[in-house]
Amino acid sequence: MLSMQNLNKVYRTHLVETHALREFSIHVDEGEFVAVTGPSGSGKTTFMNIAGLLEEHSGGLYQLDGVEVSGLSDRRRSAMRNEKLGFIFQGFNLIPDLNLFDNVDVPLRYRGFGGGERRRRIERALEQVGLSSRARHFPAELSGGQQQRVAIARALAGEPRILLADEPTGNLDSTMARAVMEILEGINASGTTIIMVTHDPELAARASRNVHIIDGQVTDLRGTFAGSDIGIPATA
Amino acid sequence: MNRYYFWLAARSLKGSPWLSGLMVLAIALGIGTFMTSYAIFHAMSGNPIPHKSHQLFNVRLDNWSPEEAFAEPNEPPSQMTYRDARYLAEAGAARHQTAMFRVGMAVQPHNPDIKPLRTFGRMTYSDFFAMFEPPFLHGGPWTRQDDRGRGAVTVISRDLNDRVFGGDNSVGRKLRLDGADYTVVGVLDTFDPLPRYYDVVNNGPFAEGDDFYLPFTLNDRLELRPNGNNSCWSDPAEDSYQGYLDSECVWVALWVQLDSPAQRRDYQAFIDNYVGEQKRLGRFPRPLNNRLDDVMSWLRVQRVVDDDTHIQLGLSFAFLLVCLLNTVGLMLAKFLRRAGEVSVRRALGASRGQIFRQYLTESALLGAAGALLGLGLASLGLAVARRLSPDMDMLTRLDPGLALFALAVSVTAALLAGLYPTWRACAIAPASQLKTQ
Amino acid sequence: MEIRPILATILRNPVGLILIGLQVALTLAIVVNALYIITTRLDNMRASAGIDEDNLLTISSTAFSGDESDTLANTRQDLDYLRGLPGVVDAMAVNTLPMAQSGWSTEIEASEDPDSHAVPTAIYFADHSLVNSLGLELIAGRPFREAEIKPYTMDQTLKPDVSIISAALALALFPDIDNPAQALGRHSWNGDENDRFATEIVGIVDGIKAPWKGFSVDIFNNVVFVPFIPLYGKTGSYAVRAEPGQLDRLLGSLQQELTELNPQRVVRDPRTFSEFRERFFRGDKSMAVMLSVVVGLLLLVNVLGIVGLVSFWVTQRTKQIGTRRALGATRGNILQYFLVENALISSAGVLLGAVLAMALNNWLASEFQVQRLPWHYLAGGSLALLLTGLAATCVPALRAAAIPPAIATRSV
Repeated sequence: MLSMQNLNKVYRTHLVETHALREFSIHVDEGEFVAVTGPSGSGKTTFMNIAGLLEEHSGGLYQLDGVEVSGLSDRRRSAMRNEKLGFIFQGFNLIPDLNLFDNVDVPLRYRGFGGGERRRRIERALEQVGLSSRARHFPAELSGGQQQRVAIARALAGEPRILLADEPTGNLDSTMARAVMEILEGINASGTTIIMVTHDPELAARASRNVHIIDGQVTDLRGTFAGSDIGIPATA
Repeated sequence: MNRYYFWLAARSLKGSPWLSGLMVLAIALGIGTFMTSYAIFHAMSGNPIPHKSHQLFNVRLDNWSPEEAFAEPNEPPSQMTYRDARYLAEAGAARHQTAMFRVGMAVQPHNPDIKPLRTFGRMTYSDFFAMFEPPFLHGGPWTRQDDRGRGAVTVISRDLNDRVFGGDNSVGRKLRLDGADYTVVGVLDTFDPLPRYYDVVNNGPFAEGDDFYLPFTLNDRLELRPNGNNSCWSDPAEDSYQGYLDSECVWVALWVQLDSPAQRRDYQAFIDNYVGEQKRLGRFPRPLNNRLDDVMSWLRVQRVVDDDTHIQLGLSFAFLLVCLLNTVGLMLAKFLRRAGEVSVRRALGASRGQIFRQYLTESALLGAAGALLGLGLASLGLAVARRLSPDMDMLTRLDPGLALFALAVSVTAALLAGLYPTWRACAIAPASQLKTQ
Repeated sequence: MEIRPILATILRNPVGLILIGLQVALTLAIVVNALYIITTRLDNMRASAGIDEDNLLTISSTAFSGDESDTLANTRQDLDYLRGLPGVVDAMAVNTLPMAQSGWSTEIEASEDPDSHAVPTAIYFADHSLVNSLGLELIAGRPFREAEIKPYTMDQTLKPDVSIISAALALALFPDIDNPAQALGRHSWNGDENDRFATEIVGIVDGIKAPWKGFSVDIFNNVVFVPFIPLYGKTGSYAVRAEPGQLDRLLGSLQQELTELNPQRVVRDPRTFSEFRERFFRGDKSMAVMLSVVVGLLLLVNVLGIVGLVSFWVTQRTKQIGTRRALGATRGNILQYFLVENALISSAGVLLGAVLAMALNNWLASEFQVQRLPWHYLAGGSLALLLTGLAATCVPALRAAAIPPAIATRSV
């Protein structure tokens, strides 16, 4: 589903050169639920951004759903983000000017669906996260947990192959965090691959596989099989 | 998708009413001011007779003093001597030609209830009507026979017909001018070419037209003095009306219709030849300097669009530029304030092109809103201009064409102003703002 | 407060500030030139015509038939009647009036040689009553004598024996004199090469204006009065000077009265001198009003633009400002920061604007009849724009100063 080989990512300013990822390799199979952990500044976010096609990598190979993405145009990358990937952020990143319905609508608009198709998908996605009744509300009127559920609905509406979640519960209290986690597990159960960055060992433990990043490299694999950076579906 | 962009743009404008209002106001003030002066300029510089402005020519001969030109740089006099104009008008070398000058006469209505009027008219040839095509309400022009036979006939304006004949069809009735009767052969409909190109020298390009037209040849009997410009570089040789007619004083205009470049060449040769002959008789002391100007060229030579109008147009355009700079700044502020939104949209699959279109749509919408408000301001500005110069009434109109032009200018300007801010918005990387929110 | 760090910030993110700078520059260029044109026009409009402007009217009549001897008889009859009317100071037959925008002009010389220095001048016809009829200021010499007045028909060559000229014309004609009165008794010359004649100058009037300004040469102050009654075909025109407060009454009654005096003619509506004056300065007035509106709007747009952009920066830098406050900056420091920033940017704009203003003025001077810009317009305009910019900055900067230090510790 997702395969990176010897990726590098270097940030340059006129003073310093930072290697955010070096010779980074990882393989994720369809249907996996991978938890990514690691200390601050280890390269987790860089990995997620590159995986999500939000940033370009400097060297190495990256195949997403069988397509080599190195060197693709902005248009193709945008289209792949739109069709294959779903994002959930720590800060929810809903558009404050739009109500829930219109927020979930955003990726569908770029997909070019007709009005009926969009409506069907939006309603189904909101129902999945239990917020159908709030479709006309604005993000500011919701609790953090509810906002995150809208973000999940927005990610789901496009029926992505992979869901990328960056600290999805980081801004939530434990009750809400558990609810969000349950939704994610449900999504994974229905076949969608999930890669989730988290600090919370408890949440990480619920994933099917754990990947630990330090200094821009995968250093540790905790799960059934250790010692290889080529992941194998784990039995939780 | 475009409808989506419009919907987003409208929401965004409503979402920050103060900033959006400021931008619309800036564009509107710029467009309003620019359109006010542009409307006046447009009316002044318009083509009064588009379908034949290339065929109608004003003729000038340089009979001026050997010591100095009539006007620098080496311009021949703007009118002609009576004798030259009359000769050329009757020589028939062009398809149509007419000499003319403006006169003032008293009208004595036969109906004693109507007070006598002081009116202004034009001594001219029947070709005037074929050349300048004034619309007739009743009757028609007099004939070339009337020209030759000094026929006591007249064509009158709609306005004079209303005042003297109560708006009836007066063709065949008598009009009493300066104590003599003339038979009305035609009544014109409203005839207000803008500018009044056939007489910008005497009557002014934007003044009212003539009350009546009389055959030029009647002047043999009437011996009229022109009600208009008269310039002499030497005194008439004898103190009599005939002395005046034979003098080098210029006060008559000559217009000809030439339908092809060949005809124009031939006519130029004809007048050059005429002046050559006159030189042999001791007239025309200056080097050969005869001019044929078509309508638009004539209006330029006569500087019908005055300096003030040019200055106002230039300064109001510069003002529009300032308003645009202002708008660029405000748009930059507005667009970059939404960097987070751009970032999210990019993450959700919007390409750079799609973001570009979204923001340009917003710019265009601002431009359209600015144009609407600006047109309101322009009509206000023109109302002020009308009050300042009531005689310029005709020049201070906004028509649908100008409104469309304003819309085009405004939207183009807003798109230009939006280009840099939009480019900046597109350059926002999809990942950059996702963490900080 | 140090300027260097502010300058560094400006240079790191220059676009918004460049926009403000350009805006200030263009505004200065336009405002200064427009203001100069406006003042010139307002000065024009203050010019006096040199006659009793408030109490003058003109009226003219055209007979249905008759020749010039009939016109002369009618004119004499009309003038007798007008002079006898209560409320009338005096009346005179005229060809035109100052600022009427049409009339007669010629070129006269100070010597018999036709190639000597020629001075263009307007010609007014007048009789012995001219000082009273127009309310002139005769500063030297005498008015025309009744015996000197002759009728003039358009077929004649104009050959006056005596003339009264404006002081400005006297000085222009005789460069050797420094007091116009010294022109008294001298002669002006006119006529074609083979037909020269001299005219004795018997009076000097001050302040009288020509009917127009002149296009290539300025004749606005050059006027010569000649002792003739003009007979323009069947038409006679009169200037009537009313006693103070009587003008309106005369305006209402004159047309009717002259028509009754002789019904075989058209008497046109009388027109006051004020109408001529209004028409004469209409272009100047329109220009002054239109440009004033542009200047006003320009300043408004400038202020709105600065307020809008600086507000945006304040919003954008809220957290930074809070942090500065937490680190010990006073409200005054914050306010000062924004003011210094604006002053730097506006100064750069003003410098560029001064160059633009000169360029614009050069262009206006070469293409149109606009004079060179005096330096104090540039200085005054620059100062005014700098102050407006600072005042406009104060609005959002005061808001910035009010940001509490606690903002720094808030996470969102």
